[in-house]
Amino acid sequence: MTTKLTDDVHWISSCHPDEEYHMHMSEYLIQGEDGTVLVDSGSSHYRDEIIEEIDRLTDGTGPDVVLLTHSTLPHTENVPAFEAKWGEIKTIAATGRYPEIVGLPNAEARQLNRPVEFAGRPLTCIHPLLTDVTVSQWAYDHESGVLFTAEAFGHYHDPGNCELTTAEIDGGVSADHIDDFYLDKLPFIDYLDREKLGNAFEMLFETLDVTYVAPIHGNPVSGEDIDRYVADVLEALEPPEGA
Amino acid sequence: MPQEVSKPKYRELSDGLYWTQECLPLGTLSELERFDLERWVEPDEDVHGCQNAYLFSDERNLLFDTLTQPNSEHVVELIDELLDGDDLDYLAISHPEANHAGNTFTILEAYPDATLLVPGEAAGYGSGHSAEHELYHIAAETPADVDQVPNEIRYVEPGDSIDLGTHTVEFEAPLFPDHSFTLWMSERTTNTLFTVDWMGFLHQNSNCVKTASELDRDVAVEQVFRFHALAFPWMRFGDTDAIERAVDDVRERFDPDVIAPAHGMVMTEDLDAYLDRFLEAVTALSREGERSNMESKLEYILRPPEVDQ
Repeated sequence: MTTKLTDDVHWISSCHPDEEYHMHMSEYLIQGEDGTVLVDSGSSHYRDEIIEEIDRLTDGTGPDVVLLTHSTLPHTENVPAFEAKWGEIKTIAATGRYPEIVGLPNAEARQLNRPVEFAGRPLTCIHPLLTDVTVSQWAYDHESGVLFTAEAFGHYHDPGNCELTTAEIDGGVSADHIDDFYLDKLPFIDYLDREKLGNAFEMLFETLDVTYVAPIHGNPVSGEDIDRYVADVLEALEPPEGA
Repeated sequence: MPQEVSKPKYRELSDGLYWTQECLPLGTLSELERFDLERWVEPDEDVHGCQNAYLFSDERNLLFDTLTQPNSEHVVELIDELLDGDDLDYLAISHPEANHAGNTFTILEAYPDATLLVPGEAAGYGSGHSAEHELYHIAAETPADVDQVPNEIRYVEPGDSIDLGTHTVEFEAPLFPDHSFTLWMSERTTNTLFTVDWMGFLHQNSNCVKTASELDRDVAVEQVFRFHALAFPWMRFGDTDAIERAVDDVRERFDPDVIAPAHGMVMTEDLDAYLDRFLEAVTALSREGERSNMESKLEYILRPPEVDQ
């Protein structure tokens, strides 16, 4: 399933269902000046549908660059299948050294904190403000204003809301879905200083003109929803009673 | 200098407990630049990160973590050598990250009777999504159908223990995890706590596979700081009081005689001093997350001069 987020950024998403709710496993395809950049490779569970969508969006040529937000699964595991389908693809690992130890022997190491052109498109990769493993990065697309993130800005969602941005969800994203996701995925949240983190988020969005925050595991958060969403995240970081 | 993961080295820590270590050369201090908390490496000296795995050779044998894929050709011959022809009975995975678990299927293929022990519960509050999925697809060459892997696969949780004969290992809820499916492990006879990503530190190239007390110089706070800044990026925003309480919990609840991390040197003496050094390091790290520091950092990072916004 593909949704057009901006003129040249496509959201490709699959939903991983649980008993109660869904979790997105998303990739984003950016149409650059000289080709396409795919952010993350997605899960092997949905390999066939992901390849079919990318093939359709790229007129059968496949992506020119795969930019990974995480060098762990399920963010990386379709890279070999993509290369089997479309040939060698320039792949950027979410690690500055030794991509081979994170299972990506042919990938290039990342470069942080300055714009790098991928397929003619300048993107700046940064250390995430909030993530789980160290081998992760966020990427800001200067032209569209989309900020690609993992694992922060993830959340679960109800069946029926799979294809919507946060602005299109009736009543917005449920705070419980944000809370549950953070509790599951970021096991250190009891140690976080919410004020410090809140300040950093505030500065980030004051500094960058973000049209969408595009998470791998959640509905894209539209610019006008960011303040409320961040407030919900900080609320989610409050330890549960009795913890 | 070649930037290659070294072949694994090893040593016997105590009777039947082997420490295997591969090193990742990170360059010299001048290449690493900018930190000066404390001098701990000479200008022309190489700094190493490392990856450890631990092997119990007992009535039943157990390997904790797998080393990394660049050593996939060496890891089985190393296990064979250390077990002296015995079979591996258990392969325990701390968490499904490739640098900890990347040789899982290589090892299972070599030891089809080995039982794979993997975290079945998240380190966080919930069970989360996809634990099985993430582990099964982590290897360089994932079996086409994991159901066909002949090995028994058992999910373990905090409190589960495995009797190896002389040694008994127990899986523990980690106090400092990075990934949501992380388990620590303890061993009762030696009173060792295997802390996975926590309590690692960088070392000098003259000090590979030496215990912390055998190093040719003291461990500096900066070594500990640098490692945790890398492995636990969230500590920039850490609540140091909460972190100190968790360290107190380690001292009181586990009170280990040995701390065996996945990315540092094994600590066998004066553990309180190393825990204190971690607290100093995390205090320094948490200052990085303060508003004034983040402001200049984000400004530099996100408004690069070559991009006209």
